[in-house]
This record gives sequence, C-alpha cells and structure tokens, in this order.
Amino acid sequence: MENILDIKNLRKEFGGFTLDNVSFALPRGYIMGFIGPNGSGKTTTLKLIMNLMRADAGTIEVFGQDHIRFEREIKQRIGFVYDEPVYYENLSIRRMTGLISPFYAKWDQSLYEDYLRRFELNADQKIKTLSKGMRTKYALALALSHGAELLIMDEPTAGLDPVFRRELLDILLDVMQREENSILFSTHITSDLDRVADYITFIDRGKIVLSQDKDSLYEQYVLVKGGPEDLTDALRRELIGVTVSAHGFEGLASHPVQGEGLLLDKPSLEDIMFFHTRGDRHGA
Amino acid sequence: MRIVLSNDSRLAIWEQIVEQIKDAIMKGELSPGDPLPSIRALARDLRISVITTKRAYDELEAERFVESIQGKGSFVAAQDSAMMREKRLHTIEAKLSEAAGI
Amino acid sequence: MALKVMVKELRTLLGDARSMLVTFAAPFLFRLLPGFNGSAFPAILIAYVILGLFSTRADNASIRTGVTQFPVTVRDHVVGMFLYQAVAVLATALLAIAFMQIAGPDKFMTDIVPKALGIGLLLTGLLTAMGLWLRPEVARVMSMLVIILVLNFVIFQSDKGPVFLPWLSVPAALLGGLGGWLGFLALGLLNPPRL
Repeated sequence: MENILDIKNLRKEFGGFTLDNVSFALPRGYIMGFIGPNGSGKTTTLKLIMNLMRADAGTIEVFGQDHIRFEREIKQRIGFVYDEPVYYENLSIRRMTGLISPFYAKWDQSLYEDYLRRFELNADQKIKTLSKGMRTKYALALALSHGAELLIMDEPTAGLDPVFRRELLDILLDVMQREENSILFSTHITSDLDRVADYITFIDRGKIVLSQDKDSLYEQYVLVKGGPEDLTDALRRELIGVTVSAHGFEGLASHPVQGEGLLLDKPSLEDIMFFHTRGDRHGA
Repeated sequence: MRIVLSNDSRLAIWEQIVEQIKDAIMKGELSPGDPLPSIRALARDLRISVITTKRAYDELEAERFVESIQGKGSFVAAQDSAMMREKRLHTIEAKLSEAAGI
Repeated sequence: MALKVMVKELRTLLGDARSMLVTFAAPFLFRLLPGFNGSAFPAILIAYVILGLFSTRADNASIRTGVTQFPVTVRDHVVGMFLYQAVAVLATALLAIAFMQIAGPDKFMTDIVPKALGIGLLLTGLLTAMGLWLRPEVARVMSMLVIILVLNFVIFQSDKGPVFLPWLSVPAALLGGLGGWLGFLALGLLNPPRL
C-alpha cells in the first residue's frame, strides 16, 4: 500500500517551540485525522509539508517525491485549505479564481462552478465581505477543482456551525469515493473525526503520541470508571491519565484493566486526547 | 439492505455490520448474486471509516457469506442449503450461549 | 512558473481600474501644477508610477497569498515579482516616450527616458527587496520615503539644463540600473524570505 504522505524524523525549532522527531505516514485512499490541542504543532507540521518553512532535520515525501525538489509538481496535486486563507481581499471571487486557475494544469471550471452553486457562493461577491464559513467554502471549492489527489486541511471546521461541519464531512466522504484520493484533516474538534477518519495521528507539545488506524485505537484504549475507593495505587499506575471527583474517578488505559466494580467504556477521541494531555499523569 | 448502527452496542461497528448482513442473507432479504455496495459507498452512507467496512466485508468473505470479484465488487455468495442449515444452527447455538451468559 | 507569477501580477494591476488611473493618469493631471510640467516630466512620470506600484500592495503580505494560494515556490514568487516590476517600469518608459513625441521632444531634457529607466529599474529592485524582507508597514513607509526623495530630486532637476543628469552617461545608467536590479534579484533568490 503506497503512502501518499511520508514524514520521517521531522524537526523544527523556533521561538521556544520544538517539533521533535515527528514521523507518520498516510496511505493512499484514506482519511487521516491529525489531532492535538491548540499549539501542539499541527499547523507547523502542515506548513513544513507545504514548504512555507524549512525543517531543521527530517524528510517529507509526498506522492513518493521529496517535497522540496518536486515542490511545483506536488503542489499541482495537492488541494490545501488553510486555517485563515489570505486572498487579494479587494477582488471578487470570480476575479481571484481567474488569477488562480491558469496555474493549474488540471483545472476543471465546470466542476468549480458546481461547487460554487452547491456552496451557495456568489462569484461576484468581494472576498473581504465573505464570512469565515464562506471563506472556507471558497477555499474548498478551489482545492477540489484542480484534480488534487491529496487534500490537506488545517482546522477547516474551526469557527463553523455544526450544520456546515456535517455538510463538510459529507463532501469529504464524496471525495473519498475515488480510491486515489486521500485527506489529511487537522483539527482540535475531534467529534468530526470520531466516525469518518480511517487513521488518527495525535500530536502533543511537538511530539507524536500515536499514529494508527482508528478502529484499533478504539479497541486498544478503554475508559475506566469507578468509585473513589476503587482507585488503588496499582490501578493509578496503569492509567495514562485520570480525573478524580468526590464521587469517583475516570481514567484512560491503553489496555483492558481488571478490577472489582470498575466500569469499562469506549473512549471518544476527545477522551483519548484529554487524558494524554490534561488528566494527571499516573493519577499523581 | 437495512443496516442500523448503535454506538452503545457491545459489538464493534464492523461486527454489527457483519451480523446485520448475515441476518439479511439468512432471512432471504438478500439473495445469492445480489450486489453489495462498495466498501467506500457503504462507508459514506453509514458515515464511518472505510477500514471498518472493509473489515466487515473481509469477515463476511471469510465466513463465505460474501464473495468479491476483482473489478466488479462484492456479491452475496451462492449458499447451498446444507451450508445454510449449518450456518443457521451455528447462529442459534451462539445466541443460546449468549442468552445463558456463557 | 515565475513568468506565470509575473503575468498574474500584471493582470491584477491591470484589473484594478481605479489603481491604474491613479497611478498612471495622475501625473498627467499634475502637469497643471508648477514643477510638474517642466522638462523633467518623463522622469517624474516614471518615479510616480513606481510610487504607485509600491504603495498599493505591501509585498510581504502578498507573498503569503502568492505562495499559499498558488502552486509556486517562494523563489518563483520572488522572480515573478521582480519581473513584474521591471515590466511595469519598462511600459511606463514607453508611455513616456510616446507622450514626449506627442508633446514635442524638444520640450524635455535630453536622455531623460533611458536614464530614468535605468534609475527606475534600480529603484524597483531595491524596493521589491525591501518589500520582501521588511515588515509590511515598515516596507511601505520606507518605500514611500525613498520615492518621495527621488521624486523631489527629479523635480529639482527640471529646467536645470538641457541634459538630464549630465554627470551620468546613458550606458552607465542603463547598465547600472540593470546590474542593480539583477543584484537584488540574486539576493532574493539566495536568501528567500521566510513566511
């Protein structure tokens, strides 16, 4: 199975933040959720992929090619939706697109117009008057209209209403009907990915915590709940993180745990993220 | 084909799909030779991961309920009545054990 | 790809009718004002156009759009920007020549267009480089300062004699201008701006 994106030992240090030995791969034909709290290094990683920054060490291969030597060819095949896309704000959508489309060999004008209609965007509207949701939709229309095989999206649903978030997921699922396509979707809103992601890569404080397929993730991790007296020291040691209240505790384990009176439950991605980053480590 | 998934079930999503498709086949709602949706189309319709649907189909193939033909997709496998009967017995046994808490 | 960037920038400029008018037509209106209708007008025109090119868009901000919305490398963008500025100045020089022919060439200083072109080229190189490396607000202010200085200098030359900048030969101006422009371009390629 070919990897559409292959990142190895990526390292970048700047302004007090370090991206440390980041490695993960996205096989072709799947959606990967790239999750992590704000400031964990998601955007930095994506910027490094798009060569907006140079890494201190490590390699990035896209479509099997080095991302710097083949930057132009790679960018033809990638559709990128940035967190806050910057355009020539005084232009209308129509004029902005008119400047962009000649750069893409596989530009599909009728497909683009279909998306505009579907997203209910007015081509004559000036970009500076677009709401955040409309800007994201415009970015998406552009990203999907030049035959891109890899869609990279940086927090596309942040600041959007839940209705549109669902619409967006439906659009992405449509895109995935073609087996050649892949999507890398970075977000801190994990509920979007809970169902539709195939792979999950979790980054925290510049380091990769895990990168695996979502189903095995759910089979592996378990939410452990119990009363206050059930939280023995032995149990604490087995938990990745735990929160304690007057009525009991809740913790995450990376393997099934045994214990009297314990309730085992399926964790959500949010739980997995939370207990890795916030819950007291080993209950201490 | 009716597939309704529950997040609360003790069965994993892929297991629920396997069970419901098997049910449909054994009840005759799906006949041998009927095409099944592609793993991607099913994933989109159920809004789940394609890895999950693939796993369900792989399991169904391993249990010989479904067969896939390269380039054409997945189809309900031809069931001979002896095998069907055996499978039904197997299922009944499994459900009895479940009910008895074994 | 750099050529595509150049074309894109030109199309953006040409598409902005109001900017075009302000940049290219205003100097002709200014001929009504004292100092602007002198024999150094063609140089004033070129300097003024450069001012217009550099005050409408902070280059560092447009670099973000240029590299994130278009499938180009940073180097493509830098080269494209340099080419675009050079083409704009060249076009202005041609406009100046045309105007001189219409108004009567003897009204203007000798050698003014080639020398102004050379200096203008050097100037665009410098300003584009500043725009790429300095923060947008700083770059904009610096650019305007530089051009206003140049403008004043040129206006001051008006009617000072028959030859524009007699201490500078035409070949020196053109070669110097081109050389300087290439130098800044090389600098831009060797040390591309960070995003």
